[in-house]
Amino acid sequence: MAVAQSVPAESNWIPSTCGMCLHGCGIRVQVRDGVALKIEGDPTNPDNLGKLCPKGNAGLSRLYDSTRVLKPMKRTNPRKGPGIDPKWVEISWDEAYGTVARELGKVRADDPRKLLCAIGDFQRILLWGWPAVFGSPNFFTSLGNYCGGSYHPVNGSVDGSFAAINDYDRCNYWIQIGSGDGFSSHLHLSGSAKRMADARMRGMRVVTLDPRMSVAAAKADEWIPTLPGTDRAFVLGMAHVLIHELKQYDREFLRDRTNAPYLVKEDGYLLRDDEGRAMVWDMQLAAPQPWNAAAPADMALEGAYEFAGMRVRTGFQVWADQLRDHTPERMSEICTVSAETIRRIAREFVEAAQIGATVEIEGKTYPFRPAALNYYRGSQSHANGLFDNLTYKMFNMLVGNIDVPGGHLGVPLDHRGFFIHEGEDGVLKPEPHQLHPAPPFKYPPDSTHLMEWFPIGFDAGQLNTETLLEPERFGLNYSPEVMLMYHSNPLWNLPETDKVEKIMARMKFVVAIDIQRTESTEWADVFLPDHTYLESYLLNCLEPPAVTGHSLRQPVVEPVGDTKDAYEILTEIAERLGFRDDWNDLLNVVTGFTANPKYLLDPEKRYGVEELWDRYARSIYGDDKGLDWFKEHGHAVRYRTPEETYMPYGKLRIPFYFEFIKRLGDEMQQKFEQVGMKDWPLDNYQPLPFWKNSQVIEDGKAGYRFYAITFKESLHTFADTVVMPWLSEVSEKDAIHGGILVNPITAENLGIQTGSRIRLTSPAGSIEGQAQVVEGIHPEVFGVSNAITRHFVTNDRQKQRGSHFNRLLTGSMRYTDSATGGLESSARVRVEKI
Amino acid sequence: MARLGMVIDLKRCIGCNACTLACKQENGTPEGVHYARVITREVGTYPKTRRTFLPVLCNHCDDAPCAQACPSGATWIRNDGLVMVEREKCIGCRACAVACPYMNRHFMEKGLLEHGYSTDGLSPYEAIKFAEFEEGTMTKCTLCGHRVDQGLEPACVITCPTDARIFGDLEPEDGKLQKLIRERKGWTLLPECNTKPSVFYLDD
Amino acid sequence: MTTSSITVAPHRFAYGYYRQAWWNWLIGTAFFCGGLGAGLFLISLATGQRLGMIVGYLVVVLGKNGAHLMYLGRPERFWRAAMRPDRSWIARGIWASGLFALSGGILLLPTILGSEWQASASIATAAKAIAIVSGLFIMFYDGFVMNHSAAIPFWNTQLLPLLILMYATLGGATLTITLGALQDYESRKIAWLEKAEPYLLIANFLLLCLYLLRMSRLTPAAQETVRMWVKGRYARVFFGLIVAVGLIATLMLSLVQPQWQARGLSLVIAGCELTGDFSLLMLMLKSGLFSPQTAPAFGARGNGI
Ligand SMILES: Nc1nc2c(c(=O)[nH]1)N[C@H]1C(S)=C(S)[C@@H](COP(=O)(O)OP(=O)(O)OC[C@H]3O[C@@H](n4cnc5c(=O)[nH]c(N)nc54)[C@H](O)[C@@H]3O)O[C@H]1N2
Ligand SMILES: Nc1nc2c(c(=O)[nH]1)N[C@H]1C(S)=C(S)[C@@H](COP(=O)(O)OP(=O)(O)OC[C@H]3O[C@@H](n4cnc5c(=O)[nH]c(N)nc54)[C@H](O)[C@@H]3O)O[C@H]1N2
Ligand code: SF4
Ligand code: SF4
Ligand code: SF4
Ligand code: SF4
Ligand code: SF4
Ligand SMILES: [Mo]
Repeated sequence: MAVAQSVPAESNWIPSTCGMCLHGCGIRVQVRDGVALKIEGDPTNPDNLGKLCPKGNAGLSRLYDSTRVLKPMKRTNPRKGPGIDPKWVEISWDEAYGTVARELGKVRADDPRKLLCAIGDFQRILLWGWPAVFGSPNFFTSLGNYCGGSYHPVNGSVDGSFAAINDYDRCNYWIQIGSGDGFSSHLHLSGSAKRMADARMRGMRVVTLDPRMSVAAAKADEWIPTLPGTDRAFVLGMAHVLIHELKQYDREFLRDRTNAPYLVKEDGYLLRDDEGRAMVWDMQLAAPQPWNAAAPADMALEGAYEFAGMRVRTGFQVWADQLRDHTPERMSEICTVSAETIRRIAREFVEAAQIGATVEIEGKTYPFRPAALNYYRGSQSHANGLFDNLTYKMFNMLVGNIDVPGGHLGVPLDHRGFFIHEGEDGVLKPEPHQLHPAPPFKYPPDSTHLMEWFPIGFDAGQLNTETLLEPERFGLNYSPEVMLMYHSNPLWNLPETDKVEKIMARMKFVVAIDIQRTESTEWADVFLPDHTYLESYLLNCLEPPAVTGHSLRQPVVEPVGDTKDAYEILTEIAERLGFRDDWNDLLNVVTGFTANPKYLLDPEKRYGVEELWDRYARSIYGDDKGLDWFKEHGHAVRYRTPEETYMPYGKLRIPFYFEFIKRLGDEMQQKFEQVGMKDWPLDNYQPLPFWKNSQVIEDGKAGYRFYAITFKESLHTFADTVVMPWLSEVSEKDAIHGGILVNPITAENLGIQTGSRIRLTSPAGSIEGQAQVVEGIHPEVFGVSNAITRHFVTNDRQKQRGSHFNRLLTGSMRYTDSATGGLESSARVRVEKI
Repeated sequence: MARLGMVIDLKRCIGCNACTLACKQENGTPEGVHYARVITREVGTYPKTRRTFLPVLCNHCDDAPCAQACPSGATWIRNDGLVMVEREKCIGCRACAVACPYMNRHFMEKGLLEHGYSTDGLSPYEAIKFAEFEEGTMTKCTLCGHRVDQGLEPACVITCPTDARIFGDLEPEDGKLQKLIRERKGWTLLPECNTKPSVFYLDD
Repeated sequence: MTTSSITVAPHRFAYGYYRQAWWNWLIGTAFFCGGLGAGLFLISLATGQRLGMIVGYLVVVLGKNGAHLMYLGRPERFWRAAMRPDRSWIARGIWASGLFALSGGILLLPTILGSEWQASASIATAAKAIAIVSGLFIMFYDGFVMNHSAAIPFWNTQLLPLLILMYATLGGATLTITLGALQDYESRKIAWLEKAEPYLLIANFLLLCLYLLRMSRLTPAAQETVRMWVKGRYARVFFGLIVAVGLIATLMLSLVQPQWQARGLSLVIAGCELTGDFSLLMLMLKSGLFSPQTAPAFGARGNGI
């Protein structure tokens, strides 16, 4: 008997890579007669093990989405603004390129810095340097720093990593703070979810801190609701318990593998001998000794000492002293978690950490610390994000779990692994700026986002909202006139939407390289349509936890429209502007071809997209593994070996006392003084983290009674995918995306019910939306899912049920970590029923 | 003979709806039709509260009320226990839908197949997939019979990021499904309806 | 969203009761026409009301079957509905409807074609027997169609076919009297029916009460339906149309006017009763709720706060 479905007999499975979020899980796509029929996880790829998250499963609806832009377009309505129809008309590629080259060319001849770029294609991170070759340093987007503004620099500074994750295979006690790792978001969800589930099945305990009942909280053994931006207080309180109450911490690790025993002078700098070597206190000699001269067993980890009339303390002691008043009681008042809970979790954690234990893996013995604290955006994307990140890392260090089995593991940016270079004093060289070398200080600054003023950081795009509207305050002596957007939606992702609109309105010319119309592309003069991920080439390896190696993205069908690969587009513009040679040179650097001259691109030649990736593949995997090999095999992904995973930096120490941060701060101060700039805040350049109120806490005193937060869940990538009906059809049905989340107690006090229209007002602005009453949220917090934050969509079925969260955020320095440029992603709000 | 079925481990499940979407793209169901879906629920009161996730699909009931109710014989049960709808025989009376206690029958309303998810007609993908459907008839989860017949596991099973869905034969007492059901005290939905589901759940 | 109160789920991804939404007013009309028409036909047959028989026959054959046909997703395959009488009450109903149409037709042919056409006595007797059996079947089988599966606890009781049968009888009786009143020459013959009407009404009322009482002690889904009837969104239809108009007003009027000579009044009585009858069936369909599907709330993990 016939059944309802039949599978096409002759169909073809093409291996490729998912592009529905930045991470790039392995996929294979079933194609018949040129039509893509099914996307599955590539079962041969150890990254995601044949699994796909819901977004990965929805890829076909992106490829065949009727709202995609399929031909180059130009606006015919000169008026620009929100809600104003650009009156797009389709044009030829040649005309589009001609216009773009003419307009960008004018500016480049005048002052190339006048180009403002918003580039957000993480998978094609090799193309991010295009604006630099054009001559513009400017970064007009809150990608990467909305989440990792302080995170990536601290990871890079602690162990040369880009991101981090706990050891799924061996951890037994997992504290998760403000992150969806393994449950709903962050690193490679598809594979991580499996690893997390396996770990929970073998009995790993999960404790989740989140103001909201996230999936991580729902599946945790314990959910601890906190106030936004106060998680650090919770962890500092736990550190206090470990150091001062339980006196349990991994002395051996701290002494032998970090700079915690190095002596710190009263001025905050390390004590050094004449040769500049950092000193430790030799208990045998009762005197300082160079760090590499003292026998480890004689090194003091704790204590204050007198030496040559100076008082010196070990780095560890400095932090211990600093934490003396960070009692659970005091921290409890800040984060609203009870002191008993702080004590209990600290005790459980340190007990689970099994300090002193070892494990043998493949014939090698490692320390074994199966307890670790994992965290991401929610927990540290705050105005004191540097302190947040340092606190979480140092809390992990207290139990000696960094990069050891069971513990907290670094995750590299790509296949190249960790940034491992020996720095000063036997300590790993910090990498506080991973995407490009830290730019030298400059005044007046070149970049509108002031990158020259952040020796630590991840390009603070949100500062544009302040610098471009008040340039004189920052000595900015030019004004950007044209904008290039590529795979980025700054009108959505940046704080202070009104200001972003003002800036957009000033642009004389805007070009967008995208696949669909968005809030931002509506301001474009020319729209250049990119291929989707199912139509283009790319070799991808991005923040892979557990694995390493590239996965190939390749076209599975002919392009649906008259679209082009973004690489081709950028190369064509470079060519027309006459800097294709420099572009090739830059690609040589970012691809690493410079280290492998055989593959160097000839500046005089133009390379097609396949040629580029072919070279890239061969330069890494050898000449027998070029693009053709990848086309057939799909990927070269393999598990990272224990050697690559555990203590990949060998005997190098990692910083516990972050002297370099202090030094950078002092240097910055001098530099600012030299140029006569007085009021630049530098107060977060601290060598050790502590509790300090942020502007958000201060706002609470000014009558902004509640908090507002934003969050991601597994059905959506940012708010981009809410235009995909397959996905929004499902997310619309989950109360979590049904409106602005509010706790029933608060709702009752304010007379709010599910469905009530409410207004949230922060010092920056206000949003209106429909309330959704849920038990799973802290009574002082309002939650706004990304799924309800789009303010412009071409897809009719997507109704707006909330409002654009980012209007509540402030882009200014007051809400920015002064050391890293990380932005504050929570806001204090007043709430009223309307 | 076999009795194919599934065990869903609620402890593993993270409510991600990958199953929902995998089923959608495998079967190309039109707007509003979801054979696989996740029932999300909030329980308790703050702070003792949880979100629970219950992924559901057709239970391929051993004693299937939908088949009992079907006057045309369009709903039939395969030897391996799969409850199927033969669309050429279906008259669209919806008796099966009323009889299914689990809301797992999906009716192809008039006009539903004329438009895809996009506003302008059908995409090439939809044009192919929709050819398998017929307006005015009933449709449902087939436990991916078309895949099973080729020795493949159902689409929702292979995609499940947490491996919460375990597919197999319920018949052998020492098979992986029965073992799990015994060890973890598996249960079925609405046992009071005496439908003898072939989909079992393990406690969170 | 607390556990204390389960609500009706807005869609199939939500937890809660699911409302029966497949069978709509067309099915309600078909059920209504089936019960009413067959009741009218049989009671008219018993009382020798030819007009009632004709109307009852037409209500079943055109009204019931027509509504069914209109409802079907693939009406051109309607005959397939008869394929599985071994297990499906709908299929059985189709057979009954078919037999009824045939046998009723045979019985009515003389009336329609005039006396030239006379069926042989044995055929007439057989037709009569078949019409009675199939007609009776039509009067109650909808109840079995509905109660057959456990999906909707509010329907899942043997009281339902009885209630349906009783309402069909009541409807049939009421219409028989009314049609009788319209043709006063034969009104005598139905005096006993007129006397029976109040008792029928009271019996139906009591049965309805019993039904709701039973249901209010059954599963939460059935209880919720009862709640919707007596307190919730359907209270107005229940108390207003089913009880006040359908039963009480009908009863009062039939008591006030034991002989329904006044045509206008008898039409009003019939209107009241039929309103109640139809409302009951519609409400039965509309307020049917599927039980929520649920996972244990906390499982083994506890919450430790
Ligand atoms: N599914 C999915 N995966 C993604 C992405 C996506 O959009 N969707 N985006 C990718 C990108 S670029 C990033 S940056 C990562 C982000 O990955 P995550 O950091 O995991 O994502 P978020 O949801 O932004 O934040 C995590 C949690 O922080 C909570 N939170 C908000 N404020 C606070 C706070 O002050 N304290 C605490 N403790 N929690 C808080 C939120 O409720 C949320 O549950 O995910 C990547 N992966
Ligand atoms: N309210 C709120 N704001 C946030 C966040 C949040 O959670 N809530 N998260 C923040 C974080 S962590 C980040 S990283 C940023 C991310 O913010 P964005 O960088 O803006 O996000 P993306 O999804 O990378 O980029 C979206 C754009 O890429 C386009 N696009 C998608 N696929 C393609 C393609 O194949 N080619 C091209 N050319 N374009 C494509 C989309 O159409 C859209 O215009 O947002 C930040 N802003
Ligand atoms: S986690 Fe990201 S890359 Fe992986 S399947 Fe999901 S959307 Fe695709
Ligand atoms: S795919 Fe798996 S984990 Fe996700 S909702 Fe479905 S059953 Fe649960
Ligand atoms: S779940 Fe419903 S549709 Fe599936 S077999 Fe059981 S009764 Fe039939
Ligand atoms: S709708 Fe189709 S499958 Fe369902 S009972 Fe009627 S004929 Fe059978
Ligand atoms: S078994 Fe197949 S048809 Fe059924 S829910 Fe899973 S994917 Fe859908
Ligand atoms: Mo991000």
